[in-house]
Amino acid sequence: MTTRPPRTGRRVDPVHVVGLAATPFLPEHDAMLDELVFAAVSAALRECGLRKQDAGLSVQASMDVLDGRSISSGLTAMAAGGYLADSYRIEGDSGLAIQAAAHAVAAGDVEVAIAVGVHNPETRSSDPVLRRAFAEQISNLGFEPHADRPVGLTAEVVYALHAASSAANGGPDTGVLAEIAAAEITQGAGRPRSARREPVTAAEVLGSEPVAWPLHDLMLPAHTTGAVAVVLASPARAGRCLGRSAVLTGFGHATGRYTWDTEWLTAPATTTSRAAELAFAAAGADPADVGYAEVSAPTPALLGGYLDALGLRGLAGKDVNASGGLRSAFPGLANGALRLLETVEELEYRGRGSTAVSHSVDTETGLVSEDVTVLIVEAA
Amino acid sequence: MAYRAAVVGVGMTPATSPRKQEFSTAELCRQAVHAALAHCGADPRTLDAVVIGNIDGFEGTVLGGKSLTRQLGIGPDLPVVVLNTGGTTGGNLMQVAARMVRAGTHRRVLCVGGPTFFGAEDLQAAINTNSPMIIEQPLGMGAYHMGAFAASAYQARFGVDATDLAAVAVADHAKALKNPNAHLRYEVTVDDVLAARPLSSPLTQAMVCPVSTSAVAMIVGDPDEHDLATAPALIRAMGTSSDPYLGGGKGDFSQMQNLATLARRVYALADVRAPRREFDVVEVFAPYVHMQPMQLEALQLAEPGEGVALIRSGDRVLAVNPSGGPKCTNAGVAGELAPYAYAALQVMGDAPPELQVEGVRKALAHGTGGTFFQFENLAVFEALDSVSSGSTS
Repeated sequence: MTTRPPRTGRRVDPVHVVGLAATPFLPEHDAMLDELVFAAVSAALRECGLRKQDAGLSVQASMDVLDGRSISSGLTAMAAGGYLADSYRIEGDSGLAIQAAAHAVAAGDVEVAIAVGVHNPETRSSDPVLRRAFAEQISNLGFEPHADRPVGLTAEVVYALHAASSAANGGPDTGVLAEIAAAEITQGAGRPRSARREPVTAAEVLGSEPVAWPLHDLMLPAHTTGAVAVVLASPARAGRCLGRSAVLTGFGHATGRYTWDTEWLTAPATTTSRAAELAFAAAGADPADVGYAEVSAPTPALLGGYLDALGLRGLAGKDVNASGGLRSAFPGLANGALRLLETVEELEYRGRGSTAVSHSVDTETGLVSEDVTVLIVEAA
Repeated sequence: MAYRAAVVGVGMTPATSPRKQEFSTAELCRQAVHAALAHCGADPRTLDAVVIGNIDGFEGTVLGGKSLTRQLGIGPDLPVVVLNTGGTTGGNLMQVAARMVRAGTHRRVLCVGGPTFFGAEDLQAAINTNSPMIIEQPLGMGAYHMGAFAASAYQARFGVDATDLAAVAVADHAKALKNPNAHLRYEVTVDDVLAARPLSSPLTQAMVCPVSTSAVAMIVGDPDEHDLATAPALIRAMGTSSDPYLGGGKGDFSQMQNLATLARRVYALADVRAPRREFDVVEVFAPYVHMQPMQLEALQLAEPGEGVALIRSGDRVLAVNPSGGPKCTNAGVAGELAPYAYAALQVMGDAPPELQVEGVRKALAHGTGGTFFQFENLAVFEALDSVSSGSTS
């Protein structure tokens, strides 16, 4: 069974990005979740000259099991601007929270909405190996419990299975994967948000810790922690705001198939393709209009396929992931908001009229049931 | 902002205890989803997305909706949004879906509430992890301990005694007895309720909700598309509101100020000026007996301290929780979505015949949850022919 085509012809009302701020990104924050959320939201509101009372809705992105408590949004809702106001929490990537907030603005239900993603897993360890083990354990719990969990499926296992399958079927081999990873890390090395601050060579990527064949540590996302907040506004309200000048003209979300369908292994970019189709249709835009993209490829083996799915294979290297992408900084469920931050800052550099794509994925169960969000962003 | 949103289809399964349940979570959800599709005559291929609720710490799994959604027989590709706001998850599913439809990016969105508590071994221990961690967590606070704060404060302020609280349980059981989907379908007396096992003063076991298993599904769509068999329940207004998670943030446990504030906001959106007279049916999420009168007071349906009297009166103008409410059926996210489902069904004229109130034009649905019940949500449903078209599509 297939779903029907998206609502082509139904354009979505534009939603302005007026505030966008992040906490510092660290291996582990010595702060409570609500402190991180408060820091990001306050900074985002401050830069656009708004107060929490101005927001009609606050949407949070986090997960209880990572946060170490049930209903963790109970702790963070106030810091996100939810006191005596509309707010709720999505358990997924912050790209989904941004879209939910954008829906409320586009619907005319609110004039200003906040989306915030926070990621600071409660591991009680600053050892990167143990922190990765914790993330993998959580990932395993996200798989279907009867067949998939017992065989040890985790996000990294899924990514490795795909990379190996891809290499065996004419895709990039280990050497090429290392070259792509090295180029991305080097591209983002000088940037303040990067978790990997030094340029690396392909040989150094291949010399990093093997994780699951054919993937090495430096081919995987650079895990970091922090919070990122986005303030959205209607066009009219944005006209009275300070701060950022970017517009979400279209947004799309798709979720991948499950393990019993092999699409995650053989054609994982299909999910990105579906999200992109929705986003471009809502924006009334074409990939040819796009001059820059932040693309969330958890492994180098996925980057080319995602670019194809977005219709952006023709972009030059400098026009994709100037930030270094996930190889430079990956703050878990805050990734969608970080990708938008990097995108908007690039558009500010490029100037009015530029169009970009902000692409994000969740990595909770790897490519299985992958949530993909695509935002079409224009510099206003 | 050209679109309206309405509940166009509802499906639910009968509830029972986890011990007696014969179906799995996936089977229950599948039954509810296909009942909702059948209710309105929608083809699964016309769905644009699924919004599903999970409360991970209670369910023994993480993001269970991701795999569950692919077992519902509605296709492998639908976008899935997983929501978790504790006890308000169910009602918030509809609010998220409604915004998708109102924004115009989605035509029809499925909401799924499953049996959150199915298989949980120690719910109070799970709930304890969301309580404040310096004092309350080490003391072992669970859900009904949090509830008892308000019960005691309400008693002290308004002179409500245990007999009054027991009367609420008696009324709920009498209603649930008529509901084919309810879990606890038997009558109780005030003496039964008072003699039940004490949990946290003044609450006894018969004053708090059961652990149920069932599933509820709801389809939210554009009411200005006329290809379905049902009379849509227009979502006239909706909203959520949050208190701090620290109990001290409430200020006064004897009244529900957060809910009262939300009600004023939502009523203004729906142009409700005389709620007691304008609503035909109200379904509130009151898992503990003291909550129902307090909620009715916060919702301007009873004067302060008069909520119990309203419930005792069996008011024939305003039907309160004709389903029997969560006091008699609470299956987690399914139980939280149920007030919204029952209220919408009443407006659509499609509630179970034993429950259907005649001539319903306007109904109110409510949800609550979180630490010390810090979250509230509300929605006003209205029969579509009661309002003029708001669509410009």
